[in-house]
Amino acid sequence: MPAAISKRKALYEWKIYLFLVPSLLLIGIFSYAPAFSTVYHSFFRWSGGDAKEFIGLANFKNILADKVFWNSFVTIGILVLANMVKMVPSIFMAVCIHRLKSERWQYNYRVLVVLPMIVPSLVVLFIWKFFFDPTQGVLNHFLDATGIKGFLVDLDKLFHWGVFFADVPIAWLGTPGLIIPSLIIWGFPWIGAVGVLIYLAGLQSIGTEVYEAAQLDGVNSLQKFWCIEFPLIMTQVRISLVLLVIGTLQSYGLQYLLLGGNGGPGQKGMVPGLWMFSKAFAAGEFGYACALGLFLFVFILTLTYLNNRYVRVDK
Amino acid sequence: MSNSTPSSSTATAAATSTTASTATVAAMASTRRKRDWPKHLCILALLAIELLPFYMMMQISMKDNHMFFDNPWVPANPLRWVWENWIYAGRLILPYVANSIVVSVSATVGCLVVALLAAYFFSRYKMPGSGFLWGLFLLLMLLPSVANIVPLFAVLKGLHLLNTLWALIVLGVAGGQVFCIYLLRNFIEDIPRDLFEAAEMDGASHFQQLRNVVIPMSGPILGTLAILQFLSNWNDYLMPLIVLRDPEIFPIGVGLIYLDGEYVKQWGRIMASFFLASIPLIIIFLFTMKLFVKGLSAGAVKG
Amino acid sequence: MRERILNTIGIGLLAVCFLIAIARIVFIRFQSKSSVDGSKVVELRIAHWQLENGPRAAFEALANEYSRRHPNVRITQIPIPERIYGNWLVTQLVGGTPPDLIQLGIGMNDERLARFFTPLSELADRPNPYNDGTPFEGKPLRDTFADGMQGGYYPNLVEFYGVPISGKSFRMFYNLDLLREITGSERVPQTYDELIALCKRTQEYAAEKHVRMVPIAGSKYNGGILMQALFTSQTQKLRERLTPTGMLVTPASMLADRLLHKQWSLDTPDAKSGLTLMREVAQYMQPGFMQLLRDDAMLLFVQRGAVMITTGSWDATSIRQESPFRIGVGSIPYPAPDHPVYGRFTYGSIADAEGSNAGTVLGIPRDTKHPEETRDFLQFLGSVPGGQIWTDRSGWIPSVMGTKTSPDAAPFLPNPNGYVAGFSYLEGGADVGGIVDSNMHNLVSSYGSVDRFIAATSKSYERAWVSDLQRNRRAQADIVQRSDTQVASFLWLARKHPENAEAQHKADIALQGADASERTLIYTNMVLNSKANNTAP
Repeated sequence: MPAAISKRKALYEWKIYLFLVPSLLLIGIFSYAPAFSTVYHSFFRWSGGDAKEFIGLANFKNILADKVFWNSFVTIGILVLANMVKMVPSIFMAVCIHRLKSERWQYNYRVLVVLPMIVPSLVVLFIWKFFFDPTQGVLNHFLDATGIKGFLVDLDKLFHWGVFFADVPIAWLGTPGLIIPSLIIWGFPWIGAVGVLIYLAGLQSIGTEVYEAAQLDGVNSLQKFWCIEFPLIMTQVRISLVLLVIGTLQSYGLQYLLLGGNGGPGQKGMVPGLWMFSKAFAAGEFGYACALGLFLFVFILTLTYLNNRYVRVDK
Repeated sequence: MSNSTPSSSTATAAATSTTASTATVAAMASTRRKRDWPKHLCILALLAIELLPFYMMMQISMKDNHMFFDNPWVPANPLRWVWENWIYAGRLILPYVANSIVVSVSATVGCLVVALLAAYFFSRYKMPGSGFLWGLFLLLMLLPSVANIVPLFAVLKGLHLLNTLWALIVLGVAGGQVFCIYLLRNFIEDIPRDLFEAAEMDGASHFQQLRNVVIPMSGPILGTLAILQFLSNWNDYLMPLIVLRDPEIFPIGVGLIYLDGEYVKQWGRIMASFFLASIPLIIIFLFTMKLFVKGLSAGAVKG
Repeated sequence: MRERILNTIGIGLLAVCFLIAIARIVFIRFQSKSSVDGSKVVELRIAHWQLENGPRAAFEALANEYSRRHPNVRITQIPIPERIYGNWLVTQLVGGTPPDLIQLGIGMNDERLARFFTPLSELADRPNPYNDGTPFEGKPLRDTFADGMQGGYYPNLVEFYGVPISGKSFRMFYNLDLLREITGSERVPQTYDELIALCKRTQEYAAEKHVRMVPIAGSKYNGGILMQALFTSQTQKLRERLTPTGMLVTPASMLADRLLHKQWSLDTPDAKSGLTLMREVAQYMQPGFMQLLRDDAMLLFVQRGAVMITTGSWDATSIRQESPFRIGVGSIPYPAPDHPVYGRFTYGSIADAEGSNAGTVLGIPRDTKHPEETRDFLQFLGSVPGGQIWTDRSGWIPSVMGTKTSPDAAPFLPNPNGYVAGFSYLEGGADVGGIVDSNMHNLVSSYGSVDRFIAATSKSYERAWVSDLQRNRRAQADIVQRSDTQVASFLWLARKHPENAEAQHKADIALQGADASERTLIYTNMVLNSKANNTAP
């Protein structure tokens, strides 16, 4: 903890405030000023220039009637849920590595887990896009070769999805019904290097005696996970969950590069961030985009507040 | 890394975690006598899929379009490797790489210096008002950056920073503040108080205390933060896309998007460019991988 | 210890790279600030999305030639991929950092033109100094273009905002080797039925030989071109019914008016027949082609994955360079008037209309720092010598008269035989386009149908036309306001100097222009008001 300090000493040490100045200036100019400007401009019709027209709450009224925006919340909701499930492989990986006997292998695997980070994320994005290509893509080649395609076609006949057909390459990013599934399988097997390492750090705090006791009780590996390991990484999991939800709600880069500013066919890939971005930088309705941003902020703030209030995990 | 969780955010996860005790790995290993091979198999399978993009990138970069469509999976015969791809990619991508190095290095160094100062302020004394100021920083964690993009653009315009590399550097420095200060503060607070007091006795100023006490003690966390910041700057493409106009100052992200926009794709060239775009990261990781892994997993990131 | 050494090496390497990179940037900055003969170098930037093989080299050559004539001007091009061009441009315009010359089209609408760009009508009426010594010496710029510079004219704004520097036309490209393999001859389809027959034959062939092949390489872009062309063949008669006789073009506001008064809709037999045609050809492209981009279709075609592709003349150079087979070029085969199903609504093939064959239209933003130099360079681009360099280097057809066309470009010269096209379902503007785009799958996919598409769009379609019209109204009001001040000042000048003929002439032109824009505004207002009255309970 920082040392308590008397008034007199604080006065004497005033220079230490200077340490904070650069940081404060930076966040003031590049975070707080834009934030206030967002609030201010959300009451204007503003197309980015000097001219603006005060229109009161009209922007917010338009948001209420903005079907695209509301639909984009459904999409992002699905993606948030999917991303939660996508945390499982990282946890699984961490537990697998943690349970290995050989310390040397534990270390080697850590290094190997980090290895994919050397590929810039944009490169990964483009390679995945290439995987999804209907005619040349790896994914369709794979599904054809393994016969999974035939299975999907049968399922389609059974459930009348109308997306998979025999002898027709699957247009992953072109069929409205497949856009969200594509975004969900994106990045398989969803292992985040930093996540794995952090879960491992959490797992390391488990004492030997705990395992020994478990061993004596004849606990199987699944029980071991739920009773010993999971509770210990609960804090990490919860916080990465919160950050993941916030991160997902804000994301739009992937959708923009993959599907374009319009969110792809049927606008199925439209997410709130992308809608805001296109409203500003394609339609030129900067004021409305600010209102959308403000709305998004309030939404995220409420979620975080509720989380802190009701889902608090005791340390 | 293909996980959609921003890598930096997961790191914070551990920040507030319960204190990790020093590892008792050796002792644990002896307690688990079950055979390990199914685990090895699982891990290797997952890793193999995870590294597939890397493999595809390498082998396709040596093929021309024709070879690629004939045989997409297996590497081409080394005698027929198309080195032209690499020459083309080098000419195309190296200028972007250079710009990215300037931005990422400057932004990372700047961010760590500024954050270290601020973290020192918060962790050294409970100065009057520091609670409120801390709140100011924490609130930023909730502020969705996406909501800010539009007015941020106006701010940059007002500062005449549009279409300059300065804009990206400054944004990189400002954007990493909260995350770095948060982690650094926790770390500095754990440094034994006696060390500071001893230094103070010797008449060390705050700067000297920072240099002689804090920096040597926080090597691993600084290393980890540096790599995370470097990565996030290196991988950024949305901000440069909005801020920059002239191709001669594009960073790598925008360069790759432009490459993707060509009308007839030469996959070999594209993959060679992708590979070249990764080389700086490969070098950094090659030399600092151990530091990074150690920093993250041995409790450098903790609460 | 070893780790420490590794870390040091890593950081050292990074530091070296950093220093080199910094040195490079400093060098670039220094270079761009350096001057020739003591006078300051003016740097002009030209932004375009012509990433095809050809035009980039052509711009390079034009820039070099211009710099040779004007050593103090340096020209750099900024080629931007199509997909992000719109966003990029809006950002630069709003940010006040636009390049000096901008290709118009993607991401552009009347409002933005009016707000951010300089009208060029005055430039269009002036003779082009770079045409001195050619037959066009002393002729107004607009009269030196094959299309009277219509490609740069924006009828809703009643002003010239751009100078087209290349011509364009849409063609079907055929893989002749494949065509011979499949049909035994190299004859390309001349009529719509022949096209469909070829498509069917190709599908059979692919099934027999077990090869992955589609008849037509489609993408949102390439499929869109073909489908829109076919649609406009079905609205030829409809357009005539909707417009007063004698009008060769129908402005969007008039179409909107007729739409709102239920004189046409997507359900009208003509339009419906157009949609049916679209669906029919769509079945011969690869499934999900609407998600594919232009480069996907091109790749499929040059990799022999398709027998034909519909695209513009601008892709010819790329296609010729990239494909290992021989290329055939033909016009888009339209249904003939005697066609049993589709003949009813059409007069016949559509001519490459004069007004629509301008490509690569360049405009000058208001915020440019070098308006004079930019105008001069634009005049050079639009001159006979400039046009000659352009067409020689790009392989594209020229827009300026009096240039020699290269043999490669010859099949793309506008074909004047045919009729005026009808209108397209997209004509309203950005919102209409968005609605159609996001519902297109209901029309073209295997589960879709014409009725399904109409049912899905019917409501939002009309609304989109209205909202596009409203946006246009704002733009027009802007123009009227601006031109009012202009007219006032010209009139004042003319009155003050009654002896100055040029001032009188300018005032006349300004007055006419203002009149026309006022008329457009009034008409748009009328349409929107009548719509309001119509829907009132």
